Amino acid sequence: MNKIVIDDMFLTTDMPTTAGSKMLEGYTSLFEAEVLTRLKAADYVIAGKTKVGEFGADLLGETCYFGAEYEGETLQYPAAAAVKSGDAKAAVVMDVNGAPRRGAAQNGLVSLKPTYGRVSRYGTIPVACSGETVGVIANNAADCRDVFTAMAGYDSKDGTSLPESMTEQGKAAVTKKNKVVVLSSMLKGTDEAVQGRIAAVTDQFTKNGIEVVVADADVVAYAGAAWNILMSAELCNNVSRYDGVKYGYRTKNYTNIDELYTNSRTEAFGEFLKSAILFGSETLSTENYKKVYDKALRVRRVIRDNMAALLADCDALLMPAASALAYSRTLVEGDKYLPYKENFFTAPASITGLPAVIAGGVQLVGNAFSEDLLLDLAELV
Amino acid sequence: MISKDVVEKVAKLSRLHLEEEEIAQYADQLNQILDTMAGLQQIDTDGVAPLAHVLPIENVFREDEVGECFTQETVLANAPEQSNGMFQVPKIV
Repeated sequence: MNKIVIDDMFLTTDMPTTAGSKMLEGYTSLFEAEVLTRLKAADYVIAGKTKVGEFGADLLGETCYFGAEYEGETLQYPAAAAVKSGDAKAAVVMDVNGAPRRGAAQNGLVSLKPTYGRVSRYGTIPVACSGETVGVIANNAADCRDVFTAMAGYDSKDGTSLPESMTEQGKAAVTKKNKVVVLSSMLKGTDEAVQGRIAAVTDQFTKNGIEVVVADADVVAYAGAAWNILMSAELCNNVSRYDGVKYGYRTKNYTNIDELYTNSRTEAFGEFLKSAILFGSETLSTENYKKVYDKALRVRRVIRDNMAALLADCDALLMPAASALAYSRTLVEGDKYLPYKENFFTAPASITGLPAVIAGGVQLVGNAFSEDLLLDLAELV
Repeated sequence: MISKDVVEKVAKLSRLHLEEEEIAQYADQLNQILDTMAGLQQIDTDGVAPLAHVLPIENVFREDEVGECFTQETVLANAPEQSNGMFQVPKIV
């Protein structure tokens, strides 16, 4: 049986959807996410939902209102744990800020973050709309491919969904070059285990006749910084809808509408989310808009052009998915900025909308529409 | 540099209430986040247009047709408080 689990970011009518937040505790949607309708039609059975951090924006689910998941003293991404344990063939996940990719890398699983726009986001909880995508985690590339194929395709209900004609054109433009580029600027701050994975995957590629070269692209290393600005700004706008009026948490402590809004939000949102809201609002303020937000949008174009130039000559950019293959409880609880730092590795694909595949504990970022090629490479790892 | 005043102002606009010690704590956090972004200013973006969206899709239109609608009862299913088939809020005017 094709049993799958889904991140608690997808709207379901037969189960609650919380996005890991007290704000949506007990909330049950009136409609279903498009990807779930498609998966059910393809005979996938949804076995249950996996916990996510508050609005899916953290490291690996540690900010979930319903509790973080630790395996011993190691932080574990619940969707990855469900696949690893065999509870599900695959997990359908929401890649807001790289959590699924980190989770897959740390568990030696295969994960696909498709090209932005190839999988409908209709019925997903919106957080960082300009870069977040629906993704898959599975034991192998073949299972990832199957689930992706069942989900992908144009959806008129999603304004950012790619029309089939564009997808076909894009796919036709992808050519195999048998070359992978390691970005040395993206190895910064990685531990020995991660560097070991990069070396092992490099060997594996070389053995299979794929040329691996090292290149420097300093500008790609700024993707995290730019993405933190864009993600926070989009997040603060997206969560402004939660005001305790029509659905979600409502405070008991109010005498007027303003107190109802403020106290509902203050009591329901967690610390990490509040810092993202405050930071996002601040970047959009009149004083900072030009200097911070607008700058990040311009840097995004520089990064995209830079990566496109690198990818014109190869099949994928090989880079880590995280600085380490495990985060300890002490580290996670002691460093509130970890999600803002660790997305150094996942932001290049998030900010450009390029597809990324995790395999063998490393990340391969490819040209738009090159999912098949990336999964072929993953099969060699 | 983000001051405590700025945090207080932004919190108010975001409809979040912060205690005095939280204001200081968030000011510190926001400055740490901001520090990691200082490097962006070094990237030359003169003559580079902002890229808000990665797809070349613009102005997605559809016909303005009435589709399937939810019933009033369904729409109110998640209401924290309701009265006479409407969402209930404190008196505003």
